[in-house]
Amino acid sequence: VTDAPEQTTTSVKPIAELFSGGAVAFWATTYNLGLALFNEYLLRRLGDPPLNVVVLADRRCIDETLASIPPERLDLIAPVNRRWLLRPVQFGTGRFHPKSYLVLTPRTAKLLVGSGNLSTNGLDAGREVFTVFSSGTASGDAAILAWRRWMRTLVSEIDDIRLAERFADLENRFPHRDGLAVVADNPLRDNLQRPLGDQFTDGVLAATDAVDELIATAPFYDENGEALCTVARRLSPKLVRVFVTSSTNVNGGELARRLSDLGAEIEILRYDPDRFTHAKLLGATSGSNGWLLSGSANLSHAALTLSAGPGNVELCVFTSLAADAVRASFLPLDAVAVAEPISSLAEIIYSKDEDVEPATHVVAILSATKLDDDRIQIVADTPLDPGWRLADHLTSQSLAITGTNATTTGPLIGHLVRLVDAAGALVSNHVVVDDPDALNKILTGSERSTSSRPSELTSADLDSSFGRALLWLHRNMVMDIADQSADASGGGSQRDESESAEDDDLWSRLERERLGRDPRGAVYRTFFGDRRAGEVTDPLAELLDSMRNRVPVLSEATGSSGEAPPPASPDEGPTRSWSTVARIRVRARNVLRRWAAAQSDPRLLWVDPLAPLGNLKAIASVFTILWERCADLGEEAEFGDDDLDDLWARWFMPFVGTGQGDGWLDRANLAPEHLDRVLDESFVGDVTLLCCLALRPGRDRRQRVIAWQPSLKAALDKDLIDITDSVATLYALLTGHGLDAVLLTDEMLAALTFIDDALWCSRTQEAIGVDQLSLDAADEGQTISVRIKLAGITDPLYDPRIPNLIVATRLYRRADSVALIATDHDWRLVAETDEPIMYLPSLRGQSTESSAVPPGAIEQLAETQGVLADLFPDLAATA
Amino acid sequence: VTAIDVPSEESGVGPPRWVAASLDVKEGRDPLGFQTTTIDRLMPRLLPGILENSDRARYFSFHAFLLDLYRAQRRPANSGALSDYIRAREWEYGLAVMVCPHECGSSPVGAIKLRSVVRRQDPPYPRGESVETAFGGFGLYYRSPMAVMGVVARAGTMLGDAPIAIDLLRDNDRARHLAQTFREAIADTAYFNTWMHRSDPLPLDVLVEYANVACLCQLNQHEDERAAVYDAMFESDLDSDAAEREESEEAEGLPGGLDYLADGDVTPLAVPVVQRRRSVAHYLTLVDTTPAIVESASTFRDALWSPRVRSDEHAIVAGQWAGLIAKDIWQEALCSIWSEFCRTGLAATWGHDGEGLSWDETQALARSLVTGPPTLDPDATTRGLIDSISSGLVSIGNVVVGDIDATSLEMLRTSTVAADTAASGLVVLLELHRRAHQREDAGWLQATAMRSVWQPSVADAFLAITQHLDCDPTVGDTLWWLVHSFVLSVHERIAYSKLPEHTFRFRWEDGRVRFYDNGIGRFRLAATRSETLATLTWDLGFWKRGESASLTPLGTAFINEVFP
Repeated sequence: VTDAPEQTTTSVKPIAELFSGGAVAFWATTYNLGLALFNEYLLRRLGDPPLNVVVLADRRCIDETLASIPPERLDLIAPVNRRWLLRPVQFGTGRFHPKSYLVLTPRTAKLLVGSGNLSTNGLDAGREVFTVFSSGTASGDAAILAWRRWMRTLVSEIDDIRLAERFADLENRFPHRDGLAVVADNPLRDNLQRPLGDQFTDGVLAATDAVDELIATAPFYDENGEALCTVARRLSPKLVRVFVTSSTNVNGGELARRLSDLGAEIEILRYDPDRFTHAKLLGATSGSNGWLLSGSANLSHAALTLSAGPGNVELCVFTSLAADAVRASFLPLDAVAVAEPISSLAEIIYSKDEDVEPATHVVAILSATKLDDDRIQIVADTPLDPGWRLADHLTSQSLAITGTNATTTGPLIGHLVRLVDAAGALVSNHVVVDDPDALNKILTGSERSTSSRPSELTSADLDSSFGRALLWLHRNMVMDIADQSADASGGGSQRDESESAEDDDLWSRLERERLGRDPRGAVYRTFFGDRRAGEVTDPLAELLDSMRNRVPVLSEATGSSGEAPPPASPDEGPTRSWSTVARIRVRARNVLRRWAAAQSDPRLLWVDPLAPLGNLKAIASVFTILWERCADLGEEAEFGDDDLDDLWARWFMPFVGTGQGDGWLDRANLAPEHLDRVLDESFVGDVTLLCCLALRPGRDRRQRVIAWQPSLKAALDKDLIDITDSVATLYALLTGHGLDAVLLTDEMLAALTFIDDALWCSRTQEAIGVDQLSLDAADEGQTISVRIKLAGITDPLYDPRIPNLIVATRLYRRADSVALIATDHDWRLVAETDEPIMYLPSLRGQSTESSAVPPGAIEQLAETQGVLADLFPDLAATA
Repeated sequence: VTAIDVPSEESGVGPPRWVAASLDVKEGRDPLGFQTTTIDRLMPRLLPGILENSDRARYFSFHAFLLDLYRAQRRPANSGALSDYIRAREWEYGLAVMVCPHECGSSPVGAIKLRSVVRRQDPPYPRGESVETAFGGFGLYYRSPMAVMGVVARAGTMLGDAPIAIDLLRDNDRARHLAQTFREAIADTAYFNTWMHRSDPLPLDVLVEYANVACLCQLNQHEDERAAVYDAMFESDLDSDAAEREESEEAEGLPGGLDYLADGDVTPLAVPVVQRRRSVAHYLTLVDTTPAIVESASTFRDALWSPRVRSDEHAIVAGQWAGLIAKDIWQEALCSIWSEFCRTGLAATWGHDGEGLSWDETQALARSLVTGPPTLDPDATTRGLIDSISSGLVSIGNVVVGDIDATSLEMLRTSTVAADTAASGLVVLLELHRRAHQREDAGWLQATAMRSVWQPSVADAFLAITQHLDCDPTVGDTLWWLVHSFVLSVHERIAYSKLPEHTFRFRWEDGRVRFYDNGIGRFRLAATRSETLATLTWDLGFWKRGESASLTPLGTAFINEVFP
């Protein structure tokens, strides 16, 4: 018995650690998988839905497992891809070999990384090792974050939408959404980029240049043990200690010869009792220090000296330990180590079984999905042959093929399918069919939570008709993509900044697909396309009925969540007390502001290309009613006129733009005939009324007019303003200003052209791009028509903004003589047609004059971005 | 140095830990889910309110007395205190039974521990507790029956608007009478008057005096008390709402209801009582015709198959009990197939370096279980085998399987148990099917329709066999069909449901069926109340011992009353 290591007393029970209930997510990577154990026992112990369970396993292992299931035992796979997602994985020619298990509860995350597969032996009965990481500890947080990054990379590589969707969901289920603390080094090592052997030797050699011991145990080597010897040669240890069993898979004689050639002392230790030992450990010591690599990597080239692709995908833990701890880690709970001569290795033989490639199929089915009509849609890795059929255990169906995709021409009930040729011969692997509906139900716990409502609102808010209207909008229309993305965002806040952008395409596709499936998208099609007169009631009628406390026409809009807003109580209505109605004001305003801002999210178009227009249409209807309430109830209404001004501006201005091609309507680039159809009379009427109301007489009208001018002009240009008699009548009712349509039109046109000095200065300052600009009254007796004070220009003769400013001033004041006075410098400048420009660089300096300025000269300079210096001959000569 | 002795590392990541098993390997007593059909489905309906171990009539009055006394003494109304009290009194009563001056040899609750005390030490005997389980023997064997009989209200029963905290004797004549008559029986004993309330060791003479009047064997000396027990078991208080509710709850879940029992002057609420009376009366008719049943469970089974009946009501209950026997034969036959399948499978697994068998290999193994005895031809048709059986050409040992006159089903059962081969199981199963699958009397249909969560009912199994035979299978086909349908998947599902207790004898893993060596062998039949009925009816004075058992006038009167 070796005198160095003593048996470790620490142990782990993975089943108890991982499967103890209350989980919200469980993700595993494994080489092989005990399907019955997982389905019949472990899965149940995780807890109740909502539950996100995914297992990634080696493709060839899964293929073999599925192919071996007889029709009589299809019960073994009943929950697969119904209650949880199984995805076979293959990277290059290597095996998918990492063993990691992540379980999340609402408050905790736990990660096990080790040697055991997801099977009875791997998690319970075998000689395996695991390192346990828990959130809330420095090393735990670091490892869990590293695992997430690693998994994100894997998911991107696997390129499977359903898997990506679940990973996005997983990221939102992690506790501590603001991020796990990263105060410790990442203890995980993967070989996606670099071989693990290199990382191990680099790690050791970074800490020491004198390795005392190299210690190793694993069940599988490459045939001659060369991978281990490669590591040994790099570390040049004084002693190489190798633990073996009779089932160790290596050419023992060759290993002995290679070890002997290292020039180090060799120590062979056999575990007693002799039993298959699946743990994989690689350790090194130097003095009292030690380093240990533990996890999935065997002592083979595929695991140690190759990176993923040509080699396996592996995952290990690299840790610094005391030398004694490294040695102790090599002893199983139930064994001692017995020293044997190196010659005893000759008894160990190598079997090629581990590395032999199984017979490959003509084509690999990557995924199979059940459609609503029980047809099956498959995705293959190569184009499909028209003669092939998809078969389950009972029958087969022909395929409608599009390249590598195909759909059965009829229903196929079986849960396990494969491709067969015309003669019935197998041409593909077996795959378990995805049932998207069933998977989604388990993932979410239900179709949608009955408590779903805008996050700002409380349940008490839903007692009011306005609250119910907001709830209706939330449930029946996609007002804010973030409401959905919060649950399953592919590119959400959880994403690590350091991650590669290469996978953007996958996440975009994921989100596009997910949003495209949002059942609320149907309401937009009802708005703008699919509805035939008299066939379907306008969904907005239901919303407005809800606002007006009427019985809704529809119990539920198409594609809604399945829950109608709570019915209005008979005594509820406009006469409700202020405290009941107006208490919603702040929260509702926040909801509507958030929704307004969300309309510019380009992802909204993935729900429906006209979703922002549909949303505005609904909101405009709501706002007209809110104005009615405001007029009727004043302070007791949900919103005052200020709120409505603010909200309508937030909604409408980004939609229509400022005439600079910057509105949603500009970007939508709708064909005129399409535009005519979607911008219906009702919508235009609501828009016109609301815009007129925004310009109503009263407090802050000037500011409102100024603010609205660009958008109003854009709206007029786009035929969104049409002041009809009915609009004028309603306007008069709501404002008390009795104007007919003609007068109201005149008022609007006046507003469009309204301007004053302050407004002009403000706009010009912004347009010219100076720091400050003001019109100064001319002193009595002065001949100067206009005096401009400005800041932000250092050298006016060489600044192209000055000609523009002079031209703009002349246009505004219809005057010719313009004086510019710098407030942040000493310069002054006077320009007048047919006179030289007088330029005073400083109050104490000499003035300079240009040549006489002919008519149109400064205008020409402004047009060509020229500078006044061109009009100063002396300066031009100097130049 | 161990890993945990080493100071923590800078990284905070400890050493990897070796896996320790969390699954506990156990044998598993009902690997195919047959016993539960009898225990949980059939017996509660055939003999409601009588458990296998609620076998001594006097314990009904004894426990009623304890509950009554506990309340009268205003002891704490919490279950822990009541449990302690009952276990202590059961211990003292058990000591008395052990030293019964009538040398009856009765076995009280906690007999093993009591016997040890009495044998190993001289009196006075220490105080103690009967069994560790809460409420002792009362909780294990008598509480549920007494509740079903309507003499005990279980804790939680609503009393007015509030639930009661502990078990209480119900406030009805039957319950009061039960307690009172036991009290009267022991009223003059030193135990009741003094020692029952003390904690010092019990003198022998006190126990002997107590046993002289109170021992389990002395119920026949106390007519009033025996009448009280009789009333508890066979009468009901229809004006007692709580009792009615419990009884009707007990009657729920019967397939097709028990309307056939609730005819004439019997109200539906009394169904459990009527069923209990009829089953006991049926037992007594068997005692009358086959006295040896009081001594032998095997004889009891044999007698149950085709008894002589006195009336239509009797035919119904006789049919029910015959159905129970058919289920046991079916179970034993499959157990023989299971046993050889596991035995052979494990051997084959060893031959595969522990790698298990592929599905095809498993199928081949099942088809090959024909070496017997009796030896069968796997390629012969099963119908051909049935013909051979019915022609008397197939024997298991000395038992000619197809000889209906000479070979009872019980003989078939014992023969396959002795042979313990799949072939014997198949032959017995086919013969059971041949003899019984067309039986259609009401009681039989009721009982054979009972199934468990895991196994189909006998009726369904017969139907499946009939359909299977319609496919004209070979013997090998039939063996594989039986293994696949009733053994393979059933056992795996049961074993998975029992995890983390690892009770697998085999399971499908990594594409192979792997066998485990943790208790291969037969599993037992569930008890069918044979001994219980014998002792209870003897305690009640329905029959007496002599050269052979014979009915007393009381027993005969009971039969006549139940089956007029």
